[in-house]
Amino acid sequence: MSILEVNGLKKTYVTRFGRTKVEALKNVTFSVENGEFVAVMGESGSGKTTLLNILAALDRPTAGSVRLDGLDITSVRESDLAAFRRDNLGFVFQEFNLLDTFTVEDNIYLPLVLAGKSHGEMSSRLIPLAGALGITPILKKYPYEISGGQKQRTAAARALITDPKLILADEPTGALDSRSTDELLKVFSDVNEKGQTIVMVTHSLRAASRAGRVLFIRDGEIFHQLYRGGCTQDEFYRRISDTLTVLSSAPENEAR
Amino acid sequence: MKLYPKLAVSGMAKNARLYLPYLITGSMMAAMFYILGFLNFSTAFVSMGGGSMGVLISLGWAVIGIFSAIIMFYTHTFLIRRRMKEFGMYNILGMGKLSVCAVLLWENAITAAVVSVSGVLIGAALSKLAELLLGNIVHLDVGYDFSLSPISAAITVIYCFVIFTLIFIISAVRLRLSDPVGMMRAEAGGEKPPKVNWLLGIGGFILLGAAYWMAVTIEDPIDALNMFFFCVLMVIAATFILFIAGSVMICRLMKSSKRYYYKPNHFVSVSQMSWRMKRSGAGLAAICILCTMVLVTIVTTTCLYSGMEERLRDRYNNDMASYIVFRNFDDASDENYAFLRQAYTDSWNECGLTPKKTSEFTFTVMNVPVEENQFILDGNIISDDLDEAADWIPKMEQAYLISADDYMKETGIDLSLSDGEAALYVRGAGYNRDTLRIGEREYAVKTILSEPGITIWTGDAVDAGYVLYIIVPDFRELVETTCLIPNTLTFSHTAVYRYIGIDTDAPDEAQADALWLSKNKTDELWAKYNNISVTKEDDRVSEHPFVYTNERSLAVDRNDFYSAYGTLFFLGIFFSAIFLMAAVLIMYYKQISEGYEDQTRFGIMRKVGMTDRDIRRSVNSQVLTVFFAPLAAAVLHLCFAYPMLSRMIYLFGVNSRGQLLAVAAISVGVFALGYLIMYKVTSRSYYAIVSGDGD
Repeated sequence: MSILEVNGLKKTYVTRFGRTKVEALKNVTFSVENGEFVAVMGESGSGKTTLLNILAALDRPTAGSVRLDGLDITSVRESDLAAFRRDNLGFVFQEFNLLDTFTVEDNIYLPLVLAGKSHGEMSSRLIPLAGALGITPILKKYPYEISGGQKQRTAAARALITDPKLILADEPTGALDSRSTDELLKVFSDVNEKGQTIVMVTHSLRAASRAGRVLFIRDGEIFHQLYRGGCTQDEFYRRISDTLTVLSSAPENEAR
Repeated sequence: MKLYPKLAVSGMAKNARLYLPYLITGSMMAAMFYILGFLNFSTAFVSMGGGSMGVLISLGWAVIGIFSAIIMFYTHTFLIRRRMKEFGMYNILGMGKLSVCAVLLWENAITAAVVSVSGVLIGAALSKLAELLLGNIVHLDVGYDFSLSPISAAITVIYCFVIFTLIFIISAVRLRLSDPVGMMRAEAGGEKPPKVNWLLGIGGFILLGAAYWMAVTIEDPIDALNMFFFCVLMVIAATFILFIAGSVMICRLMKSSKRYYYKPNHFVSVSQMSWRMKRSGAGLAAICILCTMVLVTIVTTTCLYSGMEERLRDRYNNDMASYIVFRNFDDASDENYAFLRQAYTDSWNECGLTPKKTSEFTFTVMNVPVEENQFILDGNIISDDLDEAADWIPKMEQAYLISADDYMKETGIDLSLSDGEAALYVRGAGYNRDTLRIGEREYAVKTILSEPGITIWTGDAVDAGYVLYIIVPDFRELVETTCLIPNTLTFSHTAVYRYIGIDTDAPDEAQADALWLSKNKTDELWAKYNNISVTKEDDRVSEHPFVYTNERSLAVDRNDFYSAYGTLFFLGIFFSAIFLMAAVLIMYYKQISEGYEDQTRFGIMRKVGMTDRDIRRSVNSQVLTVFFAPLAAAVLHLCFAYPMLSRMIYLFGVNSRGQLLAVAAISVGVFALGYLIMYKVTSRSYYAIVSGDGD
């Protein structure tokens, strides 16, 4: 069953006085099955951030539709969007986006508090999650007191605690060292194994090789996709690497 | 080089949200400064207003000058903090610090020019209004012709340039001391969460409680006046402690209640506040103190001003009031009295004062101690022992003794006192016994009058609001046997006063003329007797028939009162306007700078799923707290200061507490309204910043 269906997505940016039009997304169609772990790769300017923003309902497409669990998110009213995001989506950002005035615990609670959940329910959700992510000892600390890896795991916990239909991760390993990257990717793999659907935009081969499927995006279009199938992580890594080589070496017109 | 002025102008334009209020406030302060200068040099007032008014205006002018300079310096630090980033960038792009300084110089020059020119223009436009207002308040006729004061304008312009030169020098020094990378860094991260200082927080509450308790429990007006300054210091200290430490403590308490804290409305605001209060607590405390000052200033000056008529009523039995002091009843014979009386009636007639009513009576003054807010009349008042007297002197208040006959003649009230009975009128303190004793004579208190019916005022007592009239049937016998002990110098030694006064409809000028004329006539009479070398040590002392005379005019006093208290009232309004402006400006900058800090936070929260409505609500609850906590605290301060204020104002003769209450309520209302408007404006720009359309 597809949890996310993206159909004929198009996004055109017009400069302020309408002189130039930039097509960030030309025609993007793909779907994500429930429980899948999909990585989206592409160079800077390829349109992957635009895609993610539209999936996150932070931006509206020029044409096309995005269906999350059957609901067209482009039809959600502006005023309901924030609540929609809170209830259905979980976000992990490159810059962590933790609030410096909150403790780790309160940062994780934030979406639940906004949803009006009681403290008892929140803490019963947090305890197993914090254990799984290895952040139980730092719950009472403030963001400035913890490492980058811990911050990102906190952000992951904040995304996961609402039990979202879909986790959207934007370069989640971009600001992490290799050890923290591995730790975070292990977290992603683990929650994915338990059935969590994840869409992750990334530059990192190592990150992408953890996914079940990799979408390659170039010039606003899906250029190629790779399924992990039965191969090991190393094999998958090599295949992704090969594809990227082709992607970057092939001249634009030949690539089609 | 045309680059620097261009950079300066574009920098100011880009930061219009910061610069505009700065320029507007600067201009308004310059305008206020010009207006007071204008009034100070205004010949109309200098010649007509009398001494106290000129002095007060000059004083107010100086205070406004100093205060507005402080405000401009303070607000400029907000500005420069925001600009440092930009300057850092110029620096990194290869502009030397000297060149950045040049930009800064241009900015300040432009500011000074704008502020001084618009200040003088606004000031000139409003000066006539201010003049008419002051004229109206102090009851002086000012013409409707418009005039500009070149001296005041010149001083205003020069003063503006001096202030902005100093501001430039200070910021140039700051620039010199800072490094470009440091300037670029927007906000320092890694700040520790504020620690709760329980000791300080609780100490603040105790200090405030003590000050409040003192303010409420002090009964004696003089004590109130003495302790007021001390209480003010305590309250100021407590306000600062509570806003800084107490607020963090309260935030922590709110956080510790999980049910309260983990609510969408409270969650974000409480956690942000607990960080913020440490830094902005001092600013809020300053605003609170400013607000309190405004309220106290307005309330007291309004009360003093509007209580003037009452105070005059307490001093004047008639429009023209005179009395002659004699050594004893023999001297105070009708014969001796007649030629002085003649002097008065002549003076009044010559100046065209037709008496509507004439009052004449005899009274005497004695000292009566007040203990625990009760007059004490137990015979102790007469004492030749100076050591014993020394204990009593500080407690002494003046009392007036009058005969029942004279009282009936003057008021038409027959008290029907028989021998050994007395009637009293008391104000300021009570009388709680059934009898009273003066020297050896004892009286039963027959009535305590609710209205005095008569006004006696000799003016040589502290105007503390204490009034005691004792009306006895055997006035002369009592005074002769107990009060008039010749050649003793104890404080109880007194004299016989014969009063004469008239009410008249004659114009104020005629009444003033009559006053000076009667003073001259009595001076001549006194000199005539003095010329035959009568001295006090002389045995022939009784040949000098009167000791001295006293003449007063209600109209003249009223003019003096209006000029002094009216000017004070006018300055009170003026200062309140300035204080309010300062408070609002500080508040505005606080909100703006916090808005920039919160921009990223709210951006994150929006991404995490905070709705715009949540954001608005959280912003509102925060801005509301920050804005109205100082006002609420100020009103609370005023409430507790109220008993003390009413006692102090009592010293100046304002008795009606209802009036003080009404004035206080109206001031708070008007003030809160102005505050509310500023809140609306401020919260809108704060919201514009945090929602991201601001940058």
